[in-house]
Amino acid sequence: MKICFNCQSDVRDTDKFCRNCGCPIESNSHYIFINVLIAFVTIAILGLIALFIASYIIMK
Amino acid sequence: MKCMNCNVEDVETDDNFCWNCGHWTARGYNFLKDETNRKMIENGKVIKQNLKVGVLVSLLLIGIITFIIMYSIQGKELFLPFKYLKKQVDNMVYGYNTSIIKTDNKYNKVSINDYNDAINIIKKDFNEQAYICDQDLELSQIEYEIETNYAIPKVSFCDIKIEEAQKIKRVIDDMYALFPNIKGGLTNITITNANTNSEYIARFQPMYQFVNINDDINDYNKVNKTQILLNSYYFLNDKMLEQPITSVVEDNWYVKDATWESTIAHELGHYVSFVIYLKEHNLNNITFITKSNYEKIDNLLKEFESNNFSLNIVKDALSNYNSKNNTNLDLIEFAKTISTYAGTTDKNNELIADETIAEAVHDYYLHKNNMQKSSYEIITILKSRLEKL
Repeated sequence: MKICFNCQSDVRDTDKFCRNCGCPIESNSHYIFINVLIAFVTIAILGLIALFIASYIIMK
Repeated sequence: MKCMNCNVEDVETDDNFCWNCGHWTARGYNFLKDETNRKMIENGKVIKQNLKVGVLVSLLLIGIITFIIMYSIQGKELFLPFKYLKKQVDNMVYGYNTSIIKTDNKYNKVSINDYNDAINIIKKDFNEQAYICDQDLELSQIEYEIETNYAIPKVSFCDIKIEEAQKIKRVIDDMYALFPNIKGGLTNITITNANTNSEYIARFQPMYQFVNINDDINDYNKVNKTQILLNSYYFLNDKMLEQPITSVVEDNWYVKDATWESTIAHELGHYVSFVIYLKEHNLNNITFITKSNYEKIDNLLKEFESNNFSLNIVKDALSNYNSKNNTNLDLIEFAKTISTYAGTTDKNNELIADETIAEAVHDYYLHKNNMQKSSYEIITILKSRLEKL
């Protein structure tokens, strides 16, 4: 048995959607993956901006 | 009970939604009519989490667009900070300033059609590495002047201080003034890291096999570099350059008054004898190798490395020296009148005559007409043979 991440009701292992609230049932790793990816992409964008500024400073 | 949307079995009467497709059941329809239930779903963690997928996609798009814009503005120099960081880390790890220029790159299966292609690939190899070098206009000007004045395709003094580069340029200027017709054989003068920090101060490499070395000569033409390498351990580190050269070599190893920079005259001395050897065999350089000249150049280099060519020059000089000075010196005694290095021998106790010639040239560069008589005899032979070419 799993627990619905949305309404905390019990969900059977084979269920794709919560029988109580209808939300899709994903594994925990799916949510972790999305969150980690967002953190990674955010850091990458910030790093890119830092790289851009640093390349100007070094070239001076 | 069956799902009214996807027809799967096993939907319980108290289920609000189908477990397979998420469609509401009859009970679920009533469940959704209640606003409190709808809010419960909307405020749930899953809905928020699903929104994050949209955020992720947006962030990815923003990232890609930002990268494209920044790369189109800065080009390859956008990655300059990584190289800069690597340089700083290398300097810290080794404990002295190192060079980012590598002179031992090799390329395979490259189509080289003529001499210009060969020169272009040599230049390209250095240019691709040099963008991390300190951008100093004065240094670039010095490099450019040496390249154009002496027909050396690529001079790379990356990160050498201006004052040091000027000293090196003066040595090169003087050497080409003393031996005006030696242009055309050298492909590059480059600062680089030696295999071990104190392996050499400067080094002449008559042939470095650079492009298509392992490829069949019938399929691919080859490119060699004839280069002078400057060891970064000395030329990039003020602490070394501030000391006399005798701090790393014994007294009298080089000719009197030798300096860090004058060792380049020694290396150019090797180059002078190499140029004479090539020109006497109707070659200007060994840069571009095709199937028509491959065997000839291969044989010539083997012969050059055998020491016979240099040995004959030194023997002639010795003969002249002994007859003029009424002495009876042997080869090694004669060479040692120039410097200890000039008289070095191999494992068979035979004189390494190429070092004798290089030291004679070094002596000539430093002392001009006040050079040793032994150096004079060698220089006279070199000059007369060069003039005949």
